Amino acid sequence: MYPEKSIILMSMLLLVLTLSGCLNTEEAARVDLSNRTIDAGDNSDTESIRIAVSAIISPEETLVYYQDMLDYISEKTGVPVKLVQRKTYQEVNDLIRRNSVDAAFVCSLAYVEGYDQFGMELLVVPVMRGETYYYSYIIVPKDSDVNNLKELKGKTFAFSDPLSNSGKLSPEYILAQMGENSETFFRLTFFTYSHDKSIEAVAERMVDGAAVDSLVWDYKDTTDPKFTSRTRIINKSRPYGIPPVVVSKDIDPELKERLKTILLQMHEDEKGKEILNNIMIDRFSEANDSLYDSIREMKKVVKDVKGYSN
Amino acid sequence: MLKDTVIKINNFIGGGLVRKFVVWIVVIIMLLGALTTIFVQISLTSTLSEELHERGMAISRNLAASSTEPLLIEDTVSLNRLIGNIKKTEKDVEYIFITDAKGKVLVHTFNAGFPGELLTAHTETSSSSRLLDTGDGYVIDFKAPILNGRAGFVHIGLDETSLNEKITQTSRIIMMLTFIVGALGVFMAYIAGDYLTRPIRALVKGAEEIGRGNLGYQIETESTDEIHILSKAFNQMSHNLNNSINELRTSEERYKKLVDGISDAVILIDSQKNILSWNSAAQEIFDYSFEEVVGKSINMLYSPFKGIVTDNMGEILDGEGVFIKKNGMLFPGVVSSRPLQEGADVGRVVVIRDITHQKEMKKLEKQLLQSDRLATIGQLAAGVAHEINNPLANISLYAQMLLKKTEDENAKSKLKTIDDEANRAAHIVQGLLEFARRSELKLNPIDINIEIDKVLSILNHQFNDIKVTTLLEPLPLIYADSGQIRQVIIDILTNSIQAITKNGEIMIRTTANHDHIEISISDNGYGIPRENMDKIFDPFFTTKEPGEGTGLGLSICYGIINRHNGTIDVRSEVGIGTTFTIKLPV
Ligand SMILES: Nc1ncnc2c1ncn2[C@@H]1O[C@H](COP(=O)(O)OP(=O)(O)OP(=O)(O)O)[C@@H](O)[C@H]1O
Ligand SMILES: [Mg+2]
Repeated sequence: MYPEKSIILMSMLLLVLTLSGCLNTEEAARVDLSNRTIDAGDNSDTESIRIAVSAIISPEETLVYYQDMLDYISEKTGVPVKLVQRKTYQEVNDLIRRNSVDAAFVCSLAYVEGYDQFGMELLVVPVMRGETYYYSYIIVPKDSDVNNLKELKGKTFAFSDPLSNSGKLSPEYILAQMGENSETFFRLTFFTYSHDKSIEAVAERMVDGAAVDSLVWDYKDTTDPKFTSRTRIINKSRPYGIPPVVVSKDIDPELKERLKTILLQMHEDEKGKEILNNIMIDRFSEANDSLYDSIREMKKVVKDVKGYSN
Repeated sequence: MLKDTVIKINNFIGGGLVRKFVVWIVVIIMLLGALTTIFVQISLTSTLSEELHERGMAISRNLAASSTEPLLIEDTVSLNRLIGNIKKTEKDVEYIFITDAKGKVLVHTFNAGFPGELLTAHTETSSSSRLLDTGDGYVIDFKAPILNGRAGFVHIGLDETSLNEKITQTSRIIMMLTFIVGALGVFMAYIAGDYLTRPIRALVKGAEEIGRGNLGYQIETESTDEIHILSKAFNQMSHNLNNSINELRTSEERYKKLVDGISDAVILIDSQKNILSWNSAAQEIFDYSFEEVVGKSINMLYSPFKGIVTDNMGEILDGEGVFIKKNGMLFPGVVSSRPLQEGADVGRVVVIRDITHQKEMKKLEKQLLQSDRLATIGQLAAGVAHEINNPLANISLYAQMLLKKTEDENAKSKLKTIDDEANRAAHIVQGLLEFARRSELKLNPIDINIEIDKVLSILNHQFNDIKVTTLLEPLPLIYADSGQIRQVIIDILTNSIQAITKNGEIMIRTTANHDHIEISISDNGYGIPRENMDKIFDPFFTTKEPGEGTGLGLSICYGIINRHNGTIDVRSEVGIGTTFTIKLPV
């Protein structure tokens, strides 16, 4: 019934159909995936100065705040500087102990621990608002009806790090003075492993209260009060020695001196000043280990606080 | 333009309506199918690739967010677990790798070693995607910066193959659907076409019937649509056509009868003067059958010698002409012709009237008139002659008596003249009497040739140097008055002798025909002027000097031949000669 003519017509249609299938727009770059040349995982860089920063604030924030300073140091020394972060203060302390970082920004309690355990050396301390002290704040959500630490009994509470002074030792000390301990006093406790996370947790009402570093809270409240504005301070501790910059006792003395000089003179040149201003540090100054004696006292009082003795 | 194309395609398709219908339906379905496929492919491609894109972006951004911390604290175990989980749970993930800010690969999902080319393939530092051709498929590399790239970058490669497969599969389904619909379309279009074209085919059959001459054919329809209207119109047309044709036929028959009723030949010729048609009278007159003349030139009906068909302009001449019948017989006719259509050279109607009969009648009439006139003159002459005869006889008697009595020579010669003249007058009177006398013919079987010989021997001395030729066929004997026949021959020969001026030649011929004999006498004398032709047979008509001729010779001849039931004709041309032809019945 249908001779060749119709077949020609239909095959022309088919041609149109097939042609319509070949539509592609973006130009592809050729990549050969079979040529496996690189091994991943090895992150060591022996050439560079490695400076660890404890997670007083979250690693992300740390990177933001400290990168400029590390770049500055790199510029001054002429050696690349690598920022090294770890989740816990303990891990950073371990890095210092093994001498796998040259210097570190650590928490005051972590310094006290390190000093006692393996002779961690104080390099410099930042001077903030003219002081070398800081405090532990007990914060609650802004609209919370809790007005003192006592009223947090049976609630949930966030610590920052087991080796944190302001975020752990200080509240434990207050509780100890009250004849309580955190494990029984609170219904539930957490470690957030950084102060900004603790602030965030309170602001978001994930916990009923938290102990945070005054430096962090104040800094956040000044620069980005997004979370701090939703929290209220119900307790301010007595002053503690400010978290210092430390070095391993095995550090090359020459490097130690260079780093010290750079940090101490940082506020003297314009670029260094600006960097310090950004993170609210006036300058770095030399410090004495006695600055941390108050902490050592508290440690003695809080015998039964888990985590910092081991 | 489009119309031309459609016509061309229709011609290309060929065949009947149903086939065209089917092919067009299929073409439309296929076209729609193709369009749908293209449309679906385009929209599917864009939708799916958009979706893939968004998914890739979302995964990479999420991974960037969740890997920030492990990356910063160099927790490669967590990172490996993270990317391992994503690769396991997310579809189409070809690979994942994370680099630090300097582009060093920290973790990746490749089994053994990392392909270095990947690091340089996608260098953008913001959140973006890049299409990669891995050689056996396309991969979209999604890149998300970690902490604006300060911490590093996440790369996720999503395989595009499954997307293309989806598209191809959908297209295939649509194509298959198109084919199924196309096949169904063919089937349904065939049924619908067959159904729809049934009345059209009925119309076609009707048209064919009418074309075959079956006028008045009626189509049966049961539908109520336009086709029905058309069919009704067709039936009406068929009916009207039948009536008209019948009327036309009746009318034509009537006209044919009319034309056939005419006794003249009516001939229809075209512009080339070829015969198209003629009436039955024409057939009768010319004795040709219609088949023998149709398409041939009308010239064949004209006598080849005397027929003048056309003038210089090629127009058929009206007036008298000579025509030829099938058997070769010639006949006189009058032609009148009219153009078939005024102002256009499409042919003419030529009417030819046979006037043989009329011609004969005219001749007869003339002869009757002549006879009457002669009879009257004859009677008059007889009366006058009778009255003159006696005085003439007395004059002669008395002149002879006086001649005997006188001795005077002068008187004697004068008396002699009187006597001679009286005798001459008596002789004329005698001739008159002879002309007038309707005496009984003394008919005897005679041989005209012998009479001619006798006359020639009598006239012998008068011929002088005139050359006389005779061509005498053997003749049957005829009943005639020999004396009077001789008189006729003598009279005619005498006239010839008198008409001859020099180098005289006279030719005498006799021929025998099946019912008559013919005597013709020709001379090369001065001939007879046209205006005298009608008068030469009249008594006393003469062109000769008084005393030379009386003008009775030919009128007496006419009388004699007439009484023998014969005819006498003359043909003459001035300066060339004259021929008298006498026909006598056998
Ligand atoms: N053969 C001829 N050639 C020329 N003219 C002729 C001839 N025959 C007759 N004619 C003319 O016809 C006329 C009549 O002739 P017609 O014989 O009746 O009388 P005619 O010869 O004149 O006299 P007639 O015969 O009585 O002596 C003549 O006068 C002559 O003119
Ligand atoms: Mg004569």
